[in-house]
Amino acid sequence: MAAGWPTKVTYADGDVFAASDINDTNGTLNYINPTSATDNQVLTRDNTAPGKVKWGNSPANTLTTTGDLYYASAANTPARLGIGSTNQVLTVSGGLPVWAAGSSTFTKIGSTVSFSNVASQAFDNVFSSTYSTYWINIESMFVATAGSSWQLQLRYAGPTTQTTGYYSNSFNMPYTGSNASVQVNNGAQAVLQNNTNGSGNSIGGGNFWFYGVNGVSKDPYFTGSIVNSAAASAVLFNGGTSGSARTYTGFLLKGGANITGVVSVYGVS
Amino acid sequence: MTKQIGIYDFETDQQIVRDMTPEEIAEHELGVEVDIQLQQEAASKESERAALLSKLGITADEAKLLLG
Repeated sequence: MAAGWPTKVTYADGDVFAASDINDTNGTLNYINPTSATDNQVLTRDNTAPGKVKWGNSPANTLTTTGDLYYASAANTPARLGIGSTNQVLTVSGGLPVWAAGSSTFTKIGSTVSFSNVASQAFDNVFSSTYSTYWINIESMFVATAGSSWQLQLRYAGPTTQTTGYYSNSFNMPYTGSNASVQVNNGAQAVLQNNTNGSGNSIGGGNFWFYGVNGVSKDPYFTGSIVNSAAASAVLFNGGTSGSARTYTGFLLKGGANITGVVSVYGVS
Repeated sequence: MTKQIGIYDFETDQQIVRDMTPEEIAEHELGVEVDIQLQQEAASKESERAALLSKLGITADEAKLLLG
């Protein structure tokens, strides 16, 4: 055997095997103490000392938290990326993976909200700096009393409902008969639509947009459209404003009578 | 009958339904009053329109033609 290879060891009764009994090709110690490792470390080549091995991190002890992703923070450098928030998407920043809000997309916020026969329905902690614009999808609406209007208010920290200073105009366009607008000038709420049909009380569905509710103090504005199946009309909710600059966090829907509906909210970035 | 408010919190993804406070009921009643006023105004306009058409002796469609 060539010089420098592990020394032949002869055991006798009572001998204790020690690190010094093993030499590498350079005659230096090449002993790894198992107790010096932490959980889930693995043996790997020591590139700073050719011919030696060392304890190194494995995926198991790098990924410390549920949802962690394994990636390279630099060449040959494994790292973990903690899980992002709900509805965030994986994207790239500075050549590295990061979680961020989806860009130029509709991102559903929370779950679809169903409410039944309530006087009003609040939607809290909706608005934040995460999105610049919000789209409210009214999948269905129903007012318990025929001919009632559908109304909108905004909510801010507290949460508190703003009950003054609204401005809006809703243009009701029936399939037959005359068009009519409903104006709100410094009123207690904006009116999404005024159901002037006495024979029906349901609203097929619709949607509207919020602008200027992106986590900073602004006087926001809103606009949208609704189709009222029972009143046989299309409603252009020309829109309005809250009339006051605030950091709004949510909104509230109500009617002239109890309301039932299904609404989902989307952030648009 | 007790008025109720549904509150959906998007931070917790939870919907609660509870009785309205007296203050909330007062605010809600204000909205109901507005609603009644809107319906009355709409009904009044419709009556005035019908009366005018009758006075002129034309139908609503004929009135639209006149107005272009």
